[in-house]
This record gives sequence, C-alpha cells and structure tokens, in this order.
Amino acid sequence: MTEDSHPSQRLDDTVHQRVRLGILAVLTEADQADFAFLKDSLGLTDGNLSRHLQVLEEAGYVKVAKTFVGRRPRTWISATRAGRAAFGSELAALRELIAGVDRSGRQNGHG
Amino acid sequence: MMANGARNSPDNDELTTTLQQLDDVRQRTRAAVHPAWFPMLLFGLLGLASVPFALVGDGTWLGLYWFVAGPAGGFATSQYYRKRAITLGVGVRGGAYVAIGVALFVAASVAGAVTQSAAAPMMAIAVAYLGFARLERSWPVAGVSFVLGLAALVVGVTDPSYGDILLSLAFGLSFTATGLLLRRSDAPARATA
Repeated sequence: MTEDSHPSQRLDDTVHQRVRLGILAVLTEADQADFAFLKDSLGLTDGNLSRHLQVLEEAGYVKVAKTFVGRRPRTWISATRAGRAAFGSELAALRELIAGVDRSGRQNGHG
Repeated sequence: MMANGARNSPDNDELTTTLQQLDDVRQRTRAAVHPAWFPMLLFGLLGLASVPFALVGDGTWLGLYWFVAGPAGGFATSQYYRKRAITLGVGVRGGAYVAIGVALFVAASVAGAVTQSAAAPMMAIAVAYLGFARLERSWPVAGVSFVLGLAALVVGVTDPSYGDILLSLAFGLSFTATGLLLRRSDAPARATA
C-alpha cells in the first residue's frame, strides 16, 4: 500500500474496530495493563474483551502474560512494537480521512 | 465508536467521535500511569529539609545530605509507582526512570564535588527533571524544571551571597507547590488505588 493511496485503504481490518482501537489506545499509553483495568476502562464484559484480545494476539499486536499476585492469578497485556505501529498508522489514516472529508465539504460549499 | 462498514463509507462525525473517544481513553490512562505529583512533592519536601544543611559549612553537609536523601527518595518513588501499578492494574516499566535517576545521582554528585556549590548539582537536577517531564508528559514539571535550571545558571554565574540557600529554597518551594497542584488532579486515581 503506497502513502499516496486513499487513507481508507490504509485502515487495518484488525485494528479498525472500536473495541480493539480502545484496547490499543490504553496499551500505547501504558506499558502494560491488566485484564480488569482494560475491562473497566472500556466498559466491556470478560467474554467480549477476551475475544478481542485473542484477535489482537493472533495478529501479533499484543502480548498476554499470566502472573500471580499472592495466590491470585493476574493477566497482564502489553502492546508489541507492531501493535503500536499499527495503532499509530490507524490514527494517522483516521485523521487524514477527517481532514479529507472536511476539505471536500468546504470545496462543495464554495462550488 | 465506529461501524464496521466505515472502511467503505467513512462518516466524518463518526470518525471525529471515534478519535475523541480514543483521546479520552488515552488521557485517562495517561493520568493513571503518570503520578508525577509524588516525586515532585517528595523531592520538594526533601529540598526544603535540605535548607538547614545549606546554612552550615562549605557545602559538605549539603552534599552528604543529598548523597543519602537522593537515593532514598528515588527508592521511595520507585516503590510508589510499583505499588500503584499493581493496585490500579496499569503502569509503565521503570527502565527509563531508573536510568534518569542514576544519571542524575552521578551527575549531581560529581558536579557538587567539583564545584563545591549547589548551582551545578541543581542544573543537573533541572536537566534530569526535564527528562522526567518528557517521560511523564507533564508540562508543569517541564516548566518548573526549566525555571529551576535558569535560576541555577544565574546563581552559578553571579555567585551571590547565600546562593546555595536561595537555590535550595527555590527548589523545595517550587517542587512542593507543583507536587501539591498535580496531586489535586490525581484525586480520582488515588481514590481507586
């Protein structure tokens, strides 16, 4: 995909989904977040979050690590370098799309 | 946030809302993982506590004070960040913070030993805190650090009477005030923790 292509062509199907965008938004600000924090921050159910994490993990965008705090298991999630890059590209494409629609709206208004 | 069909027919309002929601999520996460108020307040108070040491002798006592208080403050800060990350379930890795802390300790110790004044170590502190501000993405921390650096430069060049005391006071008061200010905006995250 070239840089000259329409920004909508640069959207990544894996990332371009509101929950997965939200997950990556959290993980690009923090180095790691646990399952409960992601669930609460994004207002998701366990099952919903698990499903989307699995998609991101299979794409190589997040890493999941299970640890124990005392006897309690805890799942920590972090974004991989590819995940951070994919999120950055997605944001850039979305901003470009908005700017493009704004430009064409102004041109139509004046034409 | 966004419909799955947006790839083919992106709606501007929908995209704008998506970006706004993402910004909200990022800002909330950022606030949770960057409690800059703690090291600002702690080192500000340590700075105020150092003033009596600046009043006596040739700076040796002040240097010894920071030789102990600096690493102790750094350790307390690392423990606070670690405990908070575990409690909230979100945090940052400490590698870059430790690197800045160690660099600051070495630079300030060498600068103090060589110049026998507070100006050079204070400049090292200001530079280190600019790096810390970058990690914390905090403009208030960057602003205070920059002003402290300028003050240290002026004291270093003009060498006024009681320069060490003035710098210790300026450091302690400005960092304590900034720490208290930042702490107020961190109240929601602290309540959760």
